[in-house]
Amino acid sequence: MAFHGVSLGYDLGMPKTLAAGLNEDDLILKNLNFELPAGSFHFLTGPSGSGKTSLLKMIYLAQKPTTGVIELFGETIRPHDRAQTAGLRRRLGIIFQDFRLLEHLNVFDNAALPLFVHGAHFHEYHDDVTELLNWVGLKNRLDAMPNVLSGGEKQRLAIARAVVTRPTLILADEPTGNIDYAMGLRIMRLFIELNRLGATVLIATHDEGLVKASGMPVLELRQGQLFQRDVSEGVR
Amino acid sequence: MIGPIVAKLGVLKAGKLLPQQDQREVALHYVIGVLCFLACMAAMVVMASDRAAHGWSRDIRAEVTVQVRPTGLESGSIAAAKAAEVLAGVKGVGQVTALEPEKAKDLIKPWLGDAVLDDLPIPNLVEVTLDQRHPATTQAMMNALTDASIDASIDDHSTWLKDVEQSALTIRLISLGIFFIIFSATGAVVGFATRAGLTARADIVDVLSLCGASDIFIAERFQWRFARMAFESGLLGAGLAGAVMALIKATGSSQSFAIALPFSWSDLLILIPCPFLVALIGALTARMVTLRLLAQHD
Repeated sequence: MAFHGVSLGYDLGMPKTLAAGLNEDDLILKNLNFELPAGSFHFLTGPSGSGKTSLLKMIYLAQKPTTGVIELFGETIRPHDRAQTAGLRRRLGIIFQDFRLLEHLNVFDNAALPLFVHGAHFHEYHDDVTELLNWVGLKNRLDAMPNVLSGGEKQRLAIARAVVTRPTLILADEPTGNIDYAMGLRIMRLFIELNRLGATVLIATHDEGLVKASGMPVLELRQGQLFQRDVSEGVR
Repeated sequence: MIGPIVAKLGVLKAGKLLPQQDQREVALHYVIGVLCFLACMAAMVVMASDRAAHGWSRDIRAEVTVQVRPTGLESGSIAAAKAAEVLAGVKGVGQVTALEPEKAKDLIKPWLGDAVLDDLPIPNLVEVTLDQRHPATTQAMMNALTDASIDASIDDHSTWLKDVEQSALTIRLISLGIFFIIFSATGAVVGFATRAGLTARADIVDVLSLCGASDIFIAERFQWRFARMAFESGLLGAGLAGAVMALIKATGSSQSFAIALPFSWSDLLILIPCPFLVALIGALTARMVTLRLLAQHD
């Protein structure tokens, strides 16, 4: 995954699609150039409003950059090619800050949704999904509806849904925000395990404790710019 | 342990990704049902009017009226009888009847009344019923009468026939027009409902899209949802139309109604494809609208 000269600006809440007329101050992300090598693991940090979620949105193709080019899995993203978007998203696992669970589906069906969308049959995914939900501690909540789940349970379900397809790139927006520290570490171990199996992982978080505990490299957003730092070295 | 779990995991297993129907869809069921009822009635009117037009045309074509003008001292009755004898020998002529003067008077009476009839020359008429399979032509009959030195004119009712056929065609076209307008209205209603459905379920569409669902996958969810709904409503509308037609037929509708629209039990067959047609319209409209809206969403 690579960004080449990517900027993002908003005007009255609406993304600008043309660079013309944009001031430097209008940009929340400025001329980003970086690459996430396949199989890497990074945290994305920065103060509130620094553009972490917007950056993730551009990677999962929910936000078009104002300028610049994004490459994903070796393909240059064509902003209006919906077939390409669908194809690329199938290789992503996304954990949203607001979970985005479907309220009319129970825990099992929510977790299995990506597999269903990818055309898998119930008998093919039943055991894997059950095992995964067991692993994230939702074994006894398989038939519960999302509206009866606690914040932490919703978060774990959202994580299970994101990783159920064993995606190539995992994007997580505050994945441990609503769960206790012990469960947070457990979830982190899941991400690390998936990373060991080959997945690229990018996690946006405020949780410095978690970042330090993992010892993984950090990309930090400040004033629209991206800085890389190792936990031990501080900002470069 | 797995058994009870599987039993509760039916939603995705059954492919039902969209929520069960809501209040808006109940109203939509009703509207589509009513539209299908009207379309079915229009279709049956097309069939009945077609049948009526054919019947009228057949009756008119099957008969001609010959007016005979007596020559010299010959009486009108004798001239008519002579003409009847000549016409009976023409190939393609069935029954021939020389009308008695009294019968001819009876035919005129409704228009002129009793008072003046005695003072008027009553036409000498011959009624000719033609063979339905191989009817004699007007020219052949005229030639036979001329050869027998009979002064006569033949009215083959062609003026009436043209009017009847024109009227029947107009009725058919109007009914067909209504039929198609109603079906296009069904498409418009489904299109409107699809837009509303997509807006109401934007969250679901977003999640599906973020999970990598293609536009076609999403459109298919709406397509099958609306196809099923339209089929159920169509079934209801067609059933109701069938019941109304059966009621008209069974209660021995008034003579004039039966002449104008002679329904037949076989007309019920036209109702069979209607729910399928409505379902097809619902499916195609929902698919097209969803795909267009998703493309605009970009």
